[in-house]
Amino acid sequence: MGRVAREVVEKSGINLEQLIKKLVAAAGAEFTTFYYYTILRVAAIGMDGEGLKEIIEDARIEDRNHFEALVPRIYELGGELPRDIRGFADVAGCPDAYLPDSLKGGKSPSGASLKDLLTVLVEAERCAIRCYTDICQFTQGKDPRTYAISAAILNEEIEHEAWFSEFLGEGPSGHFRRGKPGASPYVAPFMTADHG
Amino acid sequence: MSDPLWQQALLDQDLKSGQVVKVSVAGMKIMLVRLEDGTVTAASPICPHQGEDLTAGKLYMGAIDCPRHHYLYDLHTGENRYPRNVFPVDLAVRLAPLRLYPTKIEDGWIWFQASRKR
Repeated sequence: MGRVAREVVEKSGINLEQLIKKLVAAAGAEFTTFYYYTILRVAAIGMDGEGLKEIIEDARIEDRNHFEALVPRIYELGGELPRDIRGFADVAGCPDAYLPDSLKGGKSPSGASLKDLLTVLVEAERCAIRCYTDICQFTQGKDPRTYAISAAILNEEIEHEAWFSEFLGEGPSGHFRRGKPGASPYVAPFMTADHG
Repeated sequence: MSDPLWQQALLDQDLKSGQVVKVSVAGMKIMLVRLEDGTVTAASPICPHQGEDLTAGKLYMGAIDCPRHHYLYDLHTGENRYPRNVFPVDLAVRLAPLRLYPTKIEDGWIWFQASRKR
């Protein structure tokens, strides 16, 4: 814990316990999403699914990066991760991104089932956008470090939504693919552990 | 007004577009929302999922976003909009809707019907 780092946040008027709760929930959502996106990436096969695989992988690795960036901040503020991973999943701030029923049994996504897969992905990103918008608004002008980390994550979640939204035919994202999988152009500066 | 089921909740002018307000009427807590299309909704302020106070949530496209797990409830129908739209069927059917109450605006007041579900 950073004693002064914690004190300055408290003195800014932020409810620290509430902030830590939000950060743990966000970290939980990233961790569970990384898990579920692994399953969704595995399911992205066949003529239509293969085209999605690399983008799911970018989002999956970047969600893991978001977890990595959030954890130090939780501990700096005097918080901690739940001791039991089951408890961690239960407090995750977004719902589980389950494999759609239409893709059970190793079916190749196509037509309606491809749309089901994309809807799970895009809605998970939209949930993340709401989550980090909330944290940004909660910390703006009061806790610059948490704000900067959350804003960096929000930037990437917005890009992820745009990628999947583009696949759904909702309009162009204006983006191009990452140079390497899960490059995290916004969050990388906050990842103090080596991420390759 | 003589219908005893109708309860006076809030002055109409005190609920601005996009605002979420919690009021207490006869010991009952009610969430009032004025959506951007002008619709006024009276609903339970308790998230049916895990009991979070929804009045701390934000509005997104006619829905209230629970601040805890970011479940979305449609404020026209009360239905869980997310994650119901993506969950496997066996889990989706277990997602309870948000309780809404019939609402009217009369004599400059917002009224709701406490004992009836919309």
